[in-house]
Amino acid sequence: MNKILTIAENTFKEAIRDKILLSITIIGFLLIAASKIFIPISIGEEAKIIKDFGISLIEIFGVFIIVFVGTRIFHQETERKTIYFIMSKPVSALEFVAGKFLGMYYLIVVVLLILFAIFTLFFRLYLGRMDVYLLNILYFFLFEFFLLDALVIFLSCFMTPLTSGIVVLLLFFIAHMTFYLITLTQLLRIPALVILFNFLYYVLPNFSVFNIKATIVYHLPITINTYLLAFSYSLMYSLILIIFSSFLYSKKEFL
Amino acid sequence: MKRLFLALILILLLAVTEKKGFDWIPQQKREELIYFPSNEFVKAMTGGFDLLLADLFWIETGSYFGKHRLSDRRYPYLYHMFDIITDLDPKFIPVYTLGTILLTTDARKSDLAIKLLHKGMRDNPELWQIPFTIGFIYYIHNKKPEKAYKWFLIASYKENAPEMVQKFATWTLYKAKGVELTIRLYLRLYEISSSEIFREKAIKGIEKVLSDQYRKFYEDMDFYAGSLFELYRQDYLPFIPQIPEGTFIIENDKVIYQ
Repeated sequence: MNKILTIAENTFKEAIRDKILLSITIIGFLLIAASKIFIPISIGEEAKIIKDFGISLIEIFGVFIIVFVGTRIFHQETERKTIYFIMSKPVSALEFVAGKFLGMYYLIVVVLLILFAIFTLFFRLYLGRMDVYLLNILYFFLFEFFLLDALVIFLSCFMTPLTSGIVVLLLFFIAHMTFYLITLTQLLRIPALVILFNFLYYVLPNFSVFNIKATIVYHLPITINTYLLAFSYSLMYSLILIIFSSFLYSKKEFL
Repeated sequence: MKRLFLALILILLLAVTEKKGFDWIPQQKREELIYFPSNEFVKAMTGGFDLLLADLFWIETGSYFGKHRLSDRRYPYLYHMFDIITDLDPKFIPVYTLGTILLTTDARKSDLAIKLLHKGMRDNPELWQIPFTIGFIYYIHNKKPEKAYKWFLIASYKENAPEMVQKFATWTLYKAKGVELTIRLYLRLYEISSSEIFREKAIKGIEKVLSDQYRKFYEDMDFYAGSLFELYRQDYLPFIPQIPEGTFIIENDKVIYQ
């Protein structure tokens, strides 16, 4: 466990120095601040629009950080030749992958908290009040990014940074549409396609469990099952991906 | 040299295409419909950003409405825009309560407004505001007080419905109290609207009712009433509407709000 934490700490320290991270965070800050421009044109819906924009921007920038920083996480080790140093130490592939995963996750959590604090500050500034219910979104974002982080780590084991970046972005969108695959299976009459869509439905990640933005914006009640499902689904799927990643990484040849 | 020549020709062609080509595309289709997808798959294609897109479409609809209000006063895509917004965010209540008023008063499509409100009721059965708006449209625009009564009554049964809704239901049943109900409905619209457009609409509505009564007084008495209080005293008005930000007065033989 100590080895994993050491790798995670180093990964976090390396990633935090990345200029892309700083750029994304600054753009996120500016965009959240700029949501004020929507107030005069929101036709009486200021609070809702600022909430929607803030929450969506936090999610978008979280995904960007995972894509731009996360996809280069293994590549940088090979590029800087630090991988040879790590390989000479008694560190298993699983420990290495898990360390990288956790390090990246620390980073996402820190950025997420910074962006959320900025959003809350501007919300208070623009509307003169707070909305404590919005804190719920942090919980769901934490597990959504946990899974997305695992997905990036998994893809980075066998893809180049560019390819894995594109695939992660596509998977992020597909994961929000997985729910509709079931609807398609009900509409289609071709058995082969029904089997295919059913297969995809169960294999592809399903992010609809984390997408409760409407529930939070409209202050609708969130059941305990929703919290539990987000937690367990994210944890199980991510662990599976990390285990597969470690297998893939152990088979990788660096020489 | 040949490649340079070819590149120049291509640049020229591109410039002509940009200058002239885009004009061949019908204006409305190019500028307005392009942003609005069809209903079937819109929610599936948002990648989880349904609310954000609904907000952007809401802002775009505001701009579309403003543009046409200042030009041809025709709104062929207004219903479609509201329909898409409510597909993306079925709980976007102002679309049902205020958007449908625009559909009725400006686009003159009360049938589509009622269709949208029925959709709103399916998605938000707990809200009193939606059946109330249906009642409002039936009473004010479609001049069908019996139907309006039914919807006001449905609204009054909803949880959290203010007492006023029940009163509206009763008043509608007694059609004679048309002036009173109309003013009260507009005052209610003013109270519930946070948007300037709708507040202005409510004030214009009250101005019209007061002006009609002012003319009616003249037709009956052969002289103009000196004040709104005189109209009230002579039973031409059930009460004088009050809005905290201003007052209704008679000026130059017209009722205005200032």
